[in-house]
Amino acid sequence: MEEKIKEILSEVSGVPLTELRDDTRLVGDLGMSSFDLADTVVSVEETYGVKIPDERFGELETVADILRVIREENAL
Amino acid sequence: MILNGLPHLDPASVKFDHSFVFDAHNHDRKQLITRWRGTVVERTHLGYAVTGWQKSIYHFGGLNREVPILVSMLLDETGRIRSLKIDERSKGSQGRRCDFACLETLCGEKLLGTPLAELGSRVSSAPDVKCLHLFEILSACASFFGTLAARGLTEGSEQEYIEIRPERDGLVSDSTHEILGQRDQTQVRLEYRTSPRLGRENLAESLDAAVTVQYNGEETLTEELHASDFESVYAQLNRLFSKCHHREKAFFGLKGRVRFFNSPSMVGLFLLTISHSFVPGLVSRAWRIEKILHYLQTGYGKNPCKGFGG
Repeated sequence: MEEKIKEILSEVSGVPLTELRDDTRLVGDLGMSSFDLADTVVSVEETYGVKIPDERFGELETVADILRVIREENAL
Repeated sequence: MILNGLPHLDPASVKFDHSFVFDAHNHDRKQLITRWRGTVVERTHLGYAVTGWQKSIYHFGGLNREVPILVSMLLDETGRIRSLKIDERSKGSQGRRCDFACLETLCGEKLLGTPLAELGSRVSSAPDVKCLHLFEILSACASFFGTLAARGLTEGSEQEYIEIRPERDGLVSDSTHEILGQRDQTQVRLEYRTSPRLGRENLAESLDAAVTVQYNGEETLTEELHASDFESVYAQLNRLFSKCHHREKAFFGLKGRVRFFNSPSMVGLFLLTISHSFVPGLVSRAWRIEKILHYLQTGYGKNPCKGFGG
């Protein structure tokens, strides 16, 4: 799942997959907007049938944060 | 020219005469917001001519405004930007002339010699070019130019037209996007279950609504939106328009980061329309709407854009 989520991030941000690390910052490093973030979340939800609640959007600062929130919310 | 849908565009004449943007109007005051944007790339004997524009038209009670901006660039054979011009008839957010000559110089210093397809490496956000509109247009041009290259094409056009109007218990947006001759239509209908609560800056701080999305005439998405604070309202609308964006990209066979879409702007435009329907006061309504417009472009506590150098 980790690799697939990075693929989604790479597609949404336009940044090559090889440049994405766990500590890569979504806004600071990838230049993602709030729309890009929603785009990523919707893609992840549609791909895995998981749910990321709106109130946790604020926690999504790095690639690792997305993985962590998905695991916490969906007991993966 | 009266704008009441996607107009016929003659790509061959676009680079010679920009009046098609500045002489286009929509006087239908039922349409609170009209937004038309597009990009034309033409192959020339020296390289490429790229024209990008956006035009927003607002009819919010006492606030009637047109904000047209057009950028033209000449690229060499390798796709590097060799000249960049902002049409002098362009206007800033407040519908007034902006110091586009100065912006043009700043952009030139930053971008001349840069491959258009690699614009993102020099310009990643609006502050990089000192203007949100300019950033959106340049990003759209770069993204569309990249799409053409990926398809082995050297010229082509895309344009998008949106109207948003309030209805008795909600609001409706109709948009048409034409990319390389292929056209799709999206209608988003939002029906309030209960009236949104307006809070700080008269922005919606709650939303309880049913949404229906029709894509090319077929109902493809129905959802209930429930939000009890502004951040959640924003997130719910972002999610909604992300889903629309996915469908559009799939329809046009696009992948990756495409920037020649209005989708990210739709959240702010919907918030503006919701506020317009519920904001109190007849006399002060235009002033309040103006403040919301400022907030959506700059954020809380920041001065509104008075035009570059204004």
